[in-house]
Amino acid sequence: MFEVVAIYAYQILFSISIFILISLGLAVIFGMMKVINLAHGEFIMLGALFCAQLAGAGVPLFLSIPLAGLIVGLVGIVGERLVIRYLYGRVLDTLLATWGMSLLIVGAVTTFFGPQTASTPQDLGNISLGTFSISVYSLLMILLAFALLAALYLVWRMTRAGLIVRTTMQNAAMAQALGIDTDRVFMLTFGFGAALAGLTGAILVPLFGASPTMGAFYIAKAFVTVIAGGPLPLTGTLAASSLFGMIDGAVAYLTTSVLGEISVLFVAILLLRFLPKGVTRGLKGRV
Amino acid sequence: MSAPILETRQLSKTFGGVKAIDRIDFSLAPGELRCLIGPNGAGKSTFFKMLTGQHRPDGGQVLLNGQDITAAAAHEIGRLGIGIKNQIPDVFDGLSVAENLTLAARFILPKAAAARKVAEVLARVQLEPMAGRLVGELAHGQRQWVEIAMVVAREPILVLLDEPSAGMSVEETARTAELIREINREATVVAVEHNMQFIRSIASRVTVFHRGRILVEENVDKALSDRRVRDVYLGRSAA
Amino acid sequence: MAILTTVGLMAVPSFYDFAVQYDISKIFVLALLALSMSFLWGYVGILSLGQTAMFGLGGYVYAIVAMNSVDTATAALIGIVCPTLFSAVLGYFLIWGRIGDIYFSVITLAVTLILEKAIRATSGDRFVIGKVRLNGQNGIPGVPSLEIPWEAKATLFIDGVYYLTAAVLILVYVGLRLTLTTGFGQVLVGLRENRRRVELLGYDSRHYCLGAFVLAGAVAGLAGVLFAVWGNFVGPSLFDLDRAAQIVIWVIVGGRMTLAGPILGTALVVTLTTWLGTQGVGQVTLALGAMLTLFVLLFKKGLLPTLSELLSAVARWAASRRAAR
Ligand SMILES: Nc1ncnc2c1ncn2[C@@H]1O[C@H](COP(=O)(O)OP(=O)(O)OP(=O)(O)O)[C@@H](O)[C@H]1O
Ligand SMILES: [Mg+2]
Repeated sequence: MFEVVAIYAYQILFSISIFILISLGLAVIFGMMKVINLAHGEFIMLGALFCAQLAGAGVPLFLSIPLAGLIVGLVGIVGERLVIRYLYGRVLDTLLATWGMSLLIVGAVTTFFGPQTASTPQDLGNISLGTFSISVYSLLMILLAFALLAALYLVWRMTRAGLIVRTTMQNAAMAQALGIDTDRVFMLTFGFGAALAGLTGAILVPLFGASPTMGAFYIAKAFVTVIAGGPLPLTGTLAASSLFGMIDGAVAYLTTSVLGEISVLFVAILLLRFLPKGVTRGLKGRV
Repeated sequence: MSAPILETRQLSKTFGGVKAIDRIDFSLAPGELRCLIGPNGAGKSTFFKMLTGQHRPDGGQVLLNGQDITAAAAHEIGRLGIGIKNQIPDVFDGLSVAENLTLAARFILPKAAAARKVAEVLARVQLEPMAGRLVGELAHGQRQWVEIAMVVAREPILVLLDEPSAGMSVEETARTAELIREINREATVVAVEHNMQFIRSIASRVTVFHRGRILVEENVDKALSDRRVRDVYLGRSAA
Repeated sequence: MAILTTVGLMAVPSFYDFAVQYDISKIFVLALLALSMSFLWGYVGILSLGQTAMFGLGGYVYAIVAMNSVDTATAALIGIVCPTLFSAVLGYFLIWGRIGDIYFSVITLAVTLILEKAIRATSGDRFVIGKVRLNGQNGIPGVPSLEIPWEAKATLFIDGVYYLTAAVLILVYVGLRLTLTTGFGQVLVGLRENRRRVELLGYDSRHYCLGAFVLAGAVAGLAGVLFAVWGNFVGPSLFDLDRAAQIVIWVIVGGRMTLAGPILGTALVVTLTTWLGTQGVGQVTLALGAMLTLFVLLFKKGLLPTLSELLSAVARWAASRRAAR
């Protein structure tokens, strides 16, 4: 009995942490900067791909993961400089342009790396729970997801950088008048969000592998989470991830993973019918 | 005095710490032509937007002929007969003048009657020569008239005009004053204005807003000569 | 002009072979899909990225019903009705709560992506509807063409499909144009121009948005049915991200403020991508991505409107030169 409860709890926590991980970067770029980044899935994919490449070249996994995140952050900054920065405030245009970027990235990756799936082994082993066994790596991943979310929350609330970013996003003109180089803040924040997405991809690659079209797999989930989360990006992401993770985890465990996703979308649409501004609408708080 | 057509009770609205409208009690008799004045940022436009469902009040009530419309959506209020000309021209720039008016008139009238209504309103605001022009191509003053004409074409019972003469030439302003008096024959009117002469030429009663509150409510001459009103207009703080 | 175009299109089969007719019919079908998006986006001002959901549903429903030996005309009808109903339900949930426009775009995209995933997961013996196996990834081959009502046991061949798709495209185009001249259509245009003013005039914008969304859903569903008839095949790629992106590109290239532009945009881009497709893998996506990004950055109004502006500027310049001499 205990085993069943434990495995069930694990399944749900696993699912919640996936929702958190894939939404983190988007919570920064879309939740804070209001840039509809449809290339978010491709940033995750690039993170996975770079991590697989680095690990394949002999770099230890625990180094490959942050390195991959860093590289994707740089890719994000390049994208921001070349495209996004001309489009701030034009919400629909950023959506379309980032969609273009997403296709460009998929096309480029397919051309240079081929369409196959790369995978990265990890050797942390399993722990057994009666008849079930759970991989240590996925337990670590769960911890990491919550740790990242907490760290992001602290950075946003406690640090000077977080304050500068929040000021800029709230009122760029005012921030500029205060002597903040808002152009740079936008660039770095976008890069930061991209790096988070890349980090996610890298963390997930030992579990799910990396292929050029995997971005499409995450984009719907990530957007649904951040939109349902509402105006407080981090609190909202945690709340929505928990809700959707629970539904997804439970339904997927009992039936199939596709049904899990369908029920998440279904619940999200129902939720938005009655709370069109998301679950954190009307809550006091900053992030 | 007859029952008020419009009444607000303790109406309030805060924007991130700024009390744009602060517990306003306002009442308007049917058939009145009232002017709303006050320095920039006094809360006049915000007040209008709460009356028309464009802003949701934080507290208080709006009553139209005794019916509570505080929580009504913009389109429901439009149907109940409140028409508004917003401060920033709020028209269909990509459509012709006639099409703008048709959209307004078609809501209350069948096709043929709507066409007659459009022709009649065009004549009233003297925009007939412009009927086929795109509204986006018109001069600022003419676009304001188009917006007023749209409001009129809906046959409202209460017309709110937010700075109807702003940016107009002297002749245009005079024409607008005349138009407003004409509208007032069929509907109750509230106009926000800054031009004192214009106010004298249309209204008998004036409500002065200051920092989200009603400072003075008086007949025109008394209000405009009130020392407190002069003070807030000259930027001195009225305690 | 319109009549000339019609006559020209109808004459194509007498001059060109089946291969050309086949390619052009595909463009007609996809142009319908582009119309369904540009009608919503260009006239009502809401961008539905989920038109592929209605398109795919239309195709799948037609295939499943027709292959269960129901007559194909009924199957086509059901194939249009289902996506129409689906868009009514989806539209109700998204539009009635007044969710933001941009969220509307993103959620509709999520819907089509999840439908795609659902279809991909239907491989195996468990997923059989009547006599039809859904086949997951691999799609359903052997979808029958439409039967010709006045000839027993005969179905439309390539030239027949050509005439049918051309006629449907023209009818839908004219139909949408006429819709825009009605009172309903005028309110739709008003919504694009200034939604707040429409509301202040007393119109409940949600009724009109929903009406337009359902109409566009019906057109996309119709396109899906015709796509299944045209290719005798339906697969999960009907729903996928690439196709959803392509519709946007067709509409942007053609310019979304007209209905004719997107049709031309479709013809241009489909021809280009088909050609690129013969050149190698990967490049098509690359080219589409580059096109989308560049158009958003450089030609906001679309290629054709920009070109025509350019042409008229040149004409004006030439005229002024002539006047100067
Ligand atoms: N949408 C908004 N968000 C935040 N603050 C607002 C908003 N609208 C108005 N305000 C603030 O509310 C106060 C009242 O503004 P309002 O526009 O109602 O003044 P007004 O009397 O119409 O002034 P004016 O004569 O300049 O038109 C101002 O301090 C303004 O900055
Ligand atoms: Mg104002």
